[in-house]
Amino acid sequence: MTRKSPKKQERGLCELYENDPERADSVVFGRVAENDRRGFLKGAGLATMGAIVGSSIPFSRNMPAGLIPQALAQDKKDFKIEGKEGMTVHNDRPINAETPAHLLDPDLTPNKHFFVRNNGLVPEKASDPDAWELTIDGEVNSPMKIKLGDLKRQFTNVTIQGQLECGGNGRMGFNPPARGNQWTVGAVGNAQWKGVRMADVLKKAGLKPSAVYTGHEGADPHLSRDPKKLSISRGVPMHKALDPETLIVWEMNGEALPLIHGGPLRVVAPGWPGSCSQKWLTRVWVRDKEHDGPGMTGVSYRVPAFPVAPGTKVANKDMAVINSMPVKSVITYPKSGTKVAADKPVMVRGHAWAGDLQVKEVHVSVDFGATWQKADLKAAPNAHAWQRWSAQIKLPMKGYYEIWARATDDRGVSQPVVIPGWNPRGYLNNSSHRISVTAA
Amino acid sequence: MKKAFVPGGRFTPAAVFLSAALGFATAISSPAASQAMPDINELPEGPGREEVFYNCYACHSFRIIKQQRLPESTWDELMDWMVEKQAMPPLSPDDRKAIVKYLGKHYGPNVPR
Repeated sequence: MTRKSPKKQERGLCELYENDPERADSVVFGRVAENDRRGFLKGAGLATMGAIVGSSIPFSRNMPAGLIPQALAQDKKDFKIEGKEGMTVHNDRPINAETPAHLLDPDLTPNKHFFVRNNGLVPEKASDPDAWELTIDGEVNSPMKIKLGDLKRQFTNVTIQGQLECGGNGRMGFNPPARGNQWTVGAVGNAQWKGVRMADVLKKAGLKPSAVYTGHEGADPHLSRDPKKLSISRGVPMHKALDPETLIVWEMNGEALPLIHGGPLRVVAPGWPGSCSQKWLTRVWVRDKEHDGPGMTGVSYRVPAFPVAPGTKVANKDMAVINSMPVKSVITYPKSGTKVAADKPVMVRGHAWAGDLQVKEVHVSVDFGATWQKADLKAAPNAHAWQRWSAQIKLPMKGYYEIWARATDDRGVSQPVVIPGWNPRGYLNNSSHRISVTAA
Repeated sequence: MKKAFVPGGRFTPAAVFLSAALGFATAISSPAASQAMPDINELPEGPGREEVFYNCYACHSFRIIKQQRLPESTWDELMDWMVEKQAMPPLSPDDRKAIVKYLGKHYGPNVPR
């Protein structure tokens, strides 16, 4: 879309169409009117307009030159994600939104509050979910295609709680800043998932000895609308794919898996970067090497294999793929900024998790980390679910306080209270969550 | 100067048909369809603003840009990444220069968030 305007006048899209629709077509969509006054949209221009109106345009050949797409002319409202409330929206195309910490308070994060991380566009909703088809192929003895309805009937149905966290949760904390969505603390959630074990499905297809990694593919259209491009395609090593809590799921918190969360079918590989849990799942390709789809290579979902100084350029060969997420916790009550009573017990609570591991202890501090108090910690209902912690604190006098939380996993590894090791794409910031309260 | 076929304006049968087709396409599509109309004033004034407005919005919204604080050199690398990995049509050298300069200035490492 090369464009050279005769005069450097800056104006909005509507105005541009109003004044000179054909030029608007050409600058915005690369569309050139033909002799019959119909614009011929093709290639990138067609993809662009499709991306903007949110769908492909079947009758684009009939579209008069200079016609402003009605979807644009009408919709001037603020962006709102259907079925979501109270979210912090980082981006609307692709959709990326996190949950404010106080809305993470329930043990199961409600669907309306569960974070959304998309790399591409949301596909159209399946009219018949049970007819959704999943392909299992690659390093298996019997490649198979199976419909969701048959998946439900032919394999043991399993329900677990599992936490998902974006690999880039906390990215906002890194300096120099890393590119990507600037997640703070809320790109995490814990839901109840119903599905089948990926292990059962892979065993039915018969894993060959050469199977070492999965490669997941989904139906989400690429931002460019190029049908040959995958938005993202990540996978997990065989030991994680065969973990009894790595599922292929169709239900989230007792509801049919919502479209925005990958409905009708997705992977849930809890405890690993959320991107391993492919949404709108159409294929599990069993690989004989580490999967190399979009999002697996270069610096994506990778951190340096050795510590580097902030801002260092790291060669691709020195980057290692992220596996289990590190130990972390969040304070969900009280809400940051709340007024509380001085010199009276105050209840503080939240959740803690540690990727594939369990959390052994949680401590809280109200004096900027000078002293720590042990919190009560509940066992997880199953591995990979987050754990509830709570503590009663007392703030000795009026004034401003910060409450900090620090979890320790069952190998004795704790959250750092400062930002951990810098990495080029800003992953794995598991530093202590801090909230502020005023005692009066 | 020709008038645009904006709703409420002059309609031809083709335009009416097309509006209906687009309305249908929007109705069956995903939540992603409910995007706000882009407004160039979402972006700070300055040389390169128009180039950023038209080229970037083709694939993604401005929210992802505004979150970033990156030096010009990183913005420049991102242009290659978008061409190589994200199917962006290559920019003309002039546009690219203008875009990278604009982004480095308005969304550089020292700009307050």
